[in-house]
Amino acid sequence: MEFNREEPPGVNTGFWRGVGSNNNVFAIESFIEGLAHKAGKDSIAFRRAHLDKTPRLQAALDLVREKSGWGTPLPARCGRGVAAQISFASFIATVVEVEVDDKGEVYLLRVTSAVDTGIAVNPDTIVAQLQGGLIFGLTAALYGEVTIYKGRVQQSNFNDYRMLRIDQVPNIEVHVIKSGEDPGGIGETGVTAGPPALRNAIYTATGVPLRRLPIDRQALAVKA
Amino acid sequence: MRRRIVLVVLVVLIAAAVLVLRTLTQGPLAFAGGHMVALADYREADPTGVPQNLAKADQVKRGEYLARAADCLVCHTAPAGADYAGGLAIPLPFGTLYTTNITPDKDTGIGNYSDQDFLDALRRGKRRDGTHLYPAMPYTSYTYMTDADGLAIKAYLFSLPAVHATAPDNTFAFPFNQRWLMVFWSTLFNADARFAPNSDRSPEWNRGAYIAEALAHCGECHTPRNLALALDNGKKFAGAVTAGWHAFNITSDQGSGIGGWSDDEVFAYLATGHAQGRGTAAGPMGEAVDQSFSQMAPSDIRALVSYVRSVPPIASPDLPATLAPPAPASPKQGGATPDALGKKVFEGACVSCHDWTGVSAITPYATVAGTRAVNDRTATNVAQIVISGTMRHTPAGVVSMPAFGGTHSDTEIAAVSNYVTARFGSARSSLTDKNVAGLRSQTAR
Repeated sequence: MEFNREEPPGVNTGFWRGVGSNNNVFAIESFIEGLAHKAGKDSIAFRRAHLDKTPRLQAALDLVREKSGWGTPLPARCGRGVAAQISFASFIATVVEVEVDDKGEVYLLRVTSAVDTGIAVNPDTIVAQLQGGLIFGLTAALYGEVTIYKGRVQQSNFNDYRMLRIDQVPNIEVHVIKSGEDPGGIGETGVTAGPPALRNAIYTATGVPLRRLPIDRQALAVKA
Repeated sequence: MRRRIVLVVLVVLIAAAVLVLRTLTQGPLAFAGGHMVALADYREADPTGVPQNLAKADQVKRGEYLARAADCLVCHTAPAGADYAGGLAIPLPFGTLYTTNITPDKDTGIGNYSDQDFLDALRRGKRRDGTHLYPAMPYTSYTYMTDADGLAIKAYLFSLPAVHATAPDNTFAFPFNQRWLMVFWSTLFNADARFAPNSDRSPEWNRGAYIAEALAHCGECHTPRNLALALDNGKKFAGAVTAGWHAFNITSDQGSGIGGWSDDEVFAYLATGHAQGRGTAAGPMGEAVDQSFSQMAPSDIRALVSYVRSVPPIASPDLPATLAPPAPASPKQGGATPDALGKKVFEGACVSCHDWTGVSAITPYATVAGTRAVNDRTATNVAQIVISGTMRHTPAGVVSMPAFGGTHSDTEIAAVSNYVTARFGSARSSLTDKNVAGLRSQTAR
């Protein structure tokens, strides 16, 4: 089965950049993270071990491990999380590094992506597309809640539908792997890569396995 | 048994304290001195009832005007609920009170109330079933209302559609859940007397006094309360924190009251919720403007102005006597907070309307420089308006500030409030995230 469409009654949902990969990659990569945790394995090594038939994604994981400082020690309540995926025929591995304060507020410290998107016609555009997509996806994961009350969406504008601001955006490094394969999609790839990597980073930093987005800060706060 | 002993001891203690308070308690019009005469003996224009243009209107129309002036709607309507069907949650220090349904529904509203039942509830805080209301219902103010005005309000309410709606039960803790104790409170603190005009004051002043005391119940928010939570009219209109908002000093004190305002400014503030350079109404006062003052006849607002300005000055020790001037145009100069977060939030969410100077280039409604709120070192109203925003209906259309409470954390709201008072006020506030959480929990919803 590819997917099963479930729509809430009475609410019209439209297209969201990243479409089905948003839900799927988040669910899969959250689950894989749980398995790695259960197995007591390093998150990247665990994924790599199950990707023998997908060398392009293995290569992306190897590169992101090298470039993100994976494994170097971090202070308490800081953590790195990884997400690896094949979306839109592109192979991408992303590491997000976060800090979670005692009240559950999440700060982005660093984002590193390695991508094999086939022949890179214009690598600058690929980098820009991924940076933009990552910011969009991370914004949604941090703030993008839409609530419905008595049949109406409550959010009306950017005061109650918040955007990640420039001073909250960390360095985002994108490494494009040289490749002779057919070109894959890159416009929506970053959108889907940010949230699961963020979720797994929060899991590492706090031990709280979030299962829905946007993130629940109360669940992340240090219990008094 | 133990419970009963505790109760008896409490009652005795409370009764003793309250008797002392009672002897110190004065009525809302005591400040004016002069001679009071019974309404029937007053020879000038009748200060009660409706303005001239409605004098010949039917009872329901008159009642509608008076219900607006008494601002029944705001408390007796839940957010997104039917008008007058009750259910608004009012958090109090000892639990949450839910307002009642005052539509003419026979099961859940006041459909079975006789005229006398209605007047008893309105002016004595006594319900049809004989139980007592908590004074969240301002019956100690409405008690000054005439029979005719009270019954006109009843006629108006009974002309509305009956709504079947039961408010949730109050969540008061013991002993506050002992409703019968309110008998004592009421005996001590409800004057249960009708409005008596003051023959030494002008007819306009008397009209203003009737509106302010019997209808609009200004003192319920603006007058501090004593230990028994009754209004302390020795400090009439000196300001208090009510429902999580600072209802500022509206005495004629020059520095901390409204003694420095012109009559036109007070008039404009009441009629439109804004006085140029003085500030813009928000929160409970914003609701009072929208649902009550803005719908009053200009002659009534003038009368209110005349009355309010006669209240003797009381300086608020917690408010600065002078208001800070506009801030420098450059963000690099001017007051700031040691922590960078407040400025960060301000430049992201606030500066485009409020400007670095605090003088808005967009609309005078958004000018914060020179307002009381930013010069209040508790920053209560600054934080509240950031949380809930405000919307003013002006002749030129709606002017609004969006609510940021849903997307900004208590830490961010505390930080930006402290930055705003540091930059635009005369003293920097030091709100914490816990204070902001407290303010959120105190507002009616």
